[in-house]
Amino acid sequence: MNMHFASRTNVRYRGLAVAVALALPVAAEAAEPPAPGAAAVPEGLTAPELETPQSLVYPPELAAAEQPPSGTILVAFVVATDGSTKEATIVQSLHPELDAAALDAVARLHYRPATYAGNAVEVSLQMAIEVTPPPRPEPEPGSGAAPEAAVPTPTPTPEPAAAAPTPVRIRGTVREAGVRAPLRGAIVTAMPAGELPIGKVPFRKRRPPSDVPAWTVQSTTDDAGHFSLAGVPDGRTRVAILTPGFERLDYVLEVHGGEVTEVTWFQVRMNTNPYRTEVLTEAETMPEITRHAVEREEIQRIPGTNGDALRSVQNLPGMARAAFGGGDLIIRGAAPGDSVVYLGGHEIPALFHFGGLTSVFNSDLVARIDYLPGNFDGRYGDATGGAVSVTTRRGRRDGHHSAVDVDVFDAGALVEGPVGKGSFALSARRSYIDAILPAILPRDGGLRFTAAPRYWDYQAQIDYPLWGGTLTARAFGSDDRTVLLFAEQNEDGDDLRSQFETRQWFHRADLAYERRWGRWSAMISPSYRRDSFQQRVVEIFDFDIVTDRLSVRGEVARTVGKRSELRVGTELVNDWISADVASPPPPGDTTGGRGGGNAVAGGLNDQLIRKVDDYRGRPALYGSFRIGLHDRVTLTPSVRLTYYSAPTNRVAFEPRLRFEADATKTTRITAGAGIFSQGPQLVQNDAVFGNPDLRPENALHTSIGVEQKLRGDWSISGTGFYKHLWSLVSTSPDEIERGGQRVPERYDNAGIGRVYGGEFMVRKALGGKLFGWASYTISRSEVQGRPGQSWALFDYDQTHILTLIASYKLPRNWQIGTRFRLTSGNPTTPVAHGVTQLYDGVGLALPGPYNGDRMRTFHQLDLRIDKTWTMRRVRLHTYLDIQNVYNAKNPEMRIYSWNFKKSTSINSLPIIPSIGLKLEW
Amino acid sequence: MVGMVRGLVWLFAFAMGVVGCGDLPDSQLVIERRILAARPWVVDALEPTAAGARDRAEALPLETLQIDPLWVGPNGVIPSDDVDAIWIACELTLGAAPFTCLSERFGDLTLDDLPACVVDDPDAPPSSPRQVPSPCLLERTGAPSFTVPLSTGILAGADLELTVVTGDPDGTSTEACADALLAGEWDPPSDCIYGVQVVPVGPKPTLLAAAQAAGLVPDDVALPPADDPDTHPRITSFRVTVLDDDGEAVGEAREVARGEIVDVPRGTTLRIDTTSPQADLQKFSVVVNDGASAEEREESYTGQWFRTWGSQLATASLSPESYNEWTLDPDGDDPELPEDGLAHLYYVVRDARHGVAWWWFTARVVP
Repeated sequence: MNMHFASRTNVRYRGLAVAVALALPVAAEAAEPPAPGAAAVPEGLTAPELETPQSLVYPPELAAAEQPPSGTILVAFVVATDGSTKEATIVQSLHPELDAAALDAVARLHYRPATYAGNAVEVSLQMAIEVTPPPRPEPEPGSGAAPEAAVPTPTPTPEPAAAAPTPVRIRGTVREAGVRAPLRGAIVTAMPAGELPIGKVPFRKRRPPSDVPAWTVQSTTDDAGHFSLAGVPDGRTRVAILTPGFERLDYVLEVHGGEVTEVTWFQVRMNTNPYRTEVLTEAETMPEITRHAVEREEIQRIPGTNGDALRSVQNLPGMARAAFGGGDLIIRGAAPGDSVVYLGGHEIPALFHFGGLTSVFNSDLVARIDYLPGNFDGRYGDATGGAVSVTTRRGRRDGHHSAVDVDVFDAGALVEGPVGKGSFALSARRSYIDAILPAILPRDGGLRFTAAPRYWDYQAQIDYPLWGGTLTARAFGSDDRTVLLFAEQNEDGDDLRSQFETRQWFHRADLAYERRWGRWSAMISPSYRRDSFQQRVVEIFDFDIVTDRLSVRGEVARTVGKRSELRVGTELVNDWISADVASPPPPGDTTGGRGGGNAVAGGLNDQLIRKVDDYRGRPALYGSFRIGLHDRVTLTPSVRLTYYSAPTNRVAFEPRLRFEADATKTTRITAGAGIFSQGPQLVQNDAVFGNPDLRPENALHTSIGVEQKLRGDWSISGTGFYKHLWSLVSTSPDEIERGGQRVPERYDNAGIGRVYGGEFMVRKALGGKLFGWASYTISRSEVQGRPGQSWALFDYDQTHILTLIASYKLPRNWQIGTRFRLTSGNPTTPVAHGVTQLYDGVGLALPGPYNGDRMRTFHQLDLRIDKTWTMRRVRLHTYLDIQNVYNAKNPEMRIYSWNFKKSTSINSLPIIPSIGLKLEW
Repeated sequence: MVGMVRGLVWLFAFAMGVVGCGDLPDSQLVIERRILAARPWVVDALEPTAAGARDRAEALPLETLQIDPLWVGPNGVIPSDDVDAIWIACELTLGAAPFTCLSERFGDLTLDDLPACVVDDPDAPPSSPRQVPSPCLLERTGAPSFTVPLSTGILAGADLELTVVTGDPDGTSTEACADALLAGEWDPPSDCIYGVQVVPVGPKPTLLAAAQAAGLVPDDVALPPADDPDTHPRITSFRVTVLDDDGEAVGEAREVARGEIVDVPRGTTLRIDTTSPQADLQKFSVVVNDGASAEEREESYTGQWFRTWGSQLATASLSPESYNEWTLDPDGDDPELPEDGLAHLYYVVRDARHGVAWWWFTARVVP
């Protein structure tokens, strides 16, 4: 799903958009998607019906040529809600004049429009037009009529005229090479073989016959990819298989009298597959002010991401660069913890293994990712930053499929297929860094692993039609662990004080049931998650936190009239937390409120110890009413009410309003404003480590944007935004009276902040040989920790963020892509002197103005080369992903000498070539 | 959580070898005046000290403490009397991190404004709270002593924060260094030296019992079990052995007295073995859930090694029986051997609370 498409459908068709790439004569009925990740066509879709067939007029001048061209023209077009056709483009060209004639013919077609749930919807179609020159008739004196093409209309190709009840001579199946999925709608045409030898016709000999074939027999494959050709004469026969989006296949075979020849042919998907089989369910098309979606194929090819779905989002406008190539999602200057990531409608506790290595959910099972940098719908909450919503895909139903992938970090496997009327998908992955890293680290380097870094994850999903809807059961989880030992050479044992140990895991089980009937739709999804975070840092910090979360999401929606929709929902989040924590007191306010502070460590008896079993609840109600004021104008007021249970005990009221207008057919204007709240972090309102009287933080989001569709798949968009934040949690130096005792306040809600800027994007959507985008964000994110303090840059402010991505498909299934990033350095607090902590011998910095300096500008070029080999039954994909091609030394942070008088930089990752391969069958 | 994730990323970066610390000076090489540690100990206790008892690191109100700093330089240990230092005492708020007491007042203070640390009402009876201004100036000496005040904050469990400031006899004055710090300057003159020490007031259960007896704490508040006072550890043995090129001992190890000078041929590697008694490590209570219960912990040793010249095998030691190797040869960019041919080795051991001990000796490098 690309951004342009989403905008078009969202605005015009009340949030219901269906784009189905089909080739006539295959009707636009619900069909299993031909590609992994393509969502199924929803039930209730009625395909458009052709009402006015048209003829393609074969230009007389061309027909008079010595060798008039013949072959297939593939045309893509959109059937509008009034039945007319538009946006016709040539996907597969034959001859300029014939192409023009084909476009003319398509422009004159008229359909009964497709409908969904009773409403007319736009449908994207493709049509394969077989064109053969007309026979050279004896000219009739005085006749100036132009000859017509042999296949004059783009209606379903009729069976051969000589289709008497003759026996079937060739029967077979057409499948997609590599994945063996049956291909529906393939046009299989038999004709005389001429001088061609038996076997597959090489590409160089795949010329159309110079004359009109003496006979042709044609068939179209059904759902199972089956076809049969009857009445084929004995002898050598040439069979051509044409399927939109696939390379043409020609075979010559011998047909003997009385025999039925059984065949199975495998067609190779074209590198520049024009398909964009993307179905948005109604629930997913709530209009957003700024919404960027990344298609699966784009995800898999973005350089520098190793094909990782969630990391691809980091390249979109408004997203700042994460340090050290990590996985932080820094949206519009907000801290990663201020944004929320949903998967299947529920939050996930960790996005990436080890903070950024690779995402915890298999990218092959991700259908789409919606990136909502601000002003998002009321269904998302407890975040003052942005939101990312990950939608998983269903297992395939076109047969059982498997895949194995291997890269430098891990190896994984995926199995999927049909189960009854439904489908399943199973996946698992494990790293082998624990085998490699200890081997490459120098033995005398002072660093050794008791348990080297290792991670694993798993995913399982079953989707099954039930009671007119779909029931989804999903389970997934992740486990990371490492134990590092900083050992001096005079130490023999494994002293805990030299040890850094971390283990983080979670397991989650979801159920979801969705159903539509008439104008109504409903969804309910309970989810249970258990996650654990254990960390020990040189006996100073010791965390062991286990959380059981039960969350339930339910939604009911009803379309009102032709252009409006009312939706109400609830999100109930319940956390049962068991914590055993030992840590030094939180840092003092030595640098000013929010985000700063020195790492001050006291002795063992200065530790604060907390053992607690606690409950935190966060029930929320939300509703939105999308009002179609006009064909081109939509207004969506929404509201979210969130109750934060003890110790916060407060209700957050979050009204939001969004506006969209189609100024022209290609221009969309959006605007929005809304309140967003976020509860204090667990440690911040803890009775010992924090302040239980803290209130939720708040933000006002405002934005206005414009999006312009350009020719082809190009688009340009820009969004200006301003965020005001208040009640931010800030460190407090004060003592307060609580429970009759004087206690340190530690935190209060004295902070305020502001973020403003603009995001711009020029994008070439997936569709041809080239895809990519240029995104530029200019912004400023500032915070005032306490009243009276001066404004300071927030930790995640990056003034300029430029990302250029381009990927180009080369012949023979090669693809090359590049990414270049140029961003402002991260803010840093200058330090020029320090204080020696005499009680532990460690230095303490004397910090300068909070975030008063910046690291040097970051720039990096990444390169990616992909090559796919498609064989009959397997497909092998390999890639080389080189990060930081010219090995730029980009400083990420400063480290200081013992007295803080000298410093040096820790650079970002050096050049890292990464190789991966994936075998599918 | 985010900080931890960043920490993990840093560790990973470290593991990947992208961390470049080579540009920074060796923290264990003493090439300028430094203060390595400070040892506050009770010299005037409220109750007589038992014979043979180890020095206490924490004091009760009205007891007098002596602060002994370890000033060192490239030419060896510097006597405290030779250091012009300013000591500023500040009463930490309960549960606050060290150095927050003074640093939160930066910008509002000048040296001239700081009062002396004397009881605000000397005529008050000894049993009543004897408030002392905070922050305040201790006597201006390299090794001051002072009496712990009896204030409501102290009775509530607060500790004392001591900040020491000194300048350079040949450069910035101590007063200028102090003013720069108190003004909140983040880039004071580079030859200024700053240190901060926490003086624990306790044991806390004893203090709480006293506060309850004085009516400052309700009678129904349960008192935690009594703890022994935090005491300083000892270094009971400091032995030096000469190693040959194969790392084998040449001759017997011999005890080296604190500050002793030994003659060592250039290029020799010395093995130093130290002993701090396991018995000196104390058990103590740490409160859980803000005092709802307590957990018992045990101290542990952390030793730091410093040198003025040569190279050393390790920078730290973690066990009671600790060793290190000191090779009397220049290491990398080390400075040239001083003309007097003396190289110094300092060893500071802490017990993870406030106990500290140190040792040093000098090698006269013989060509």
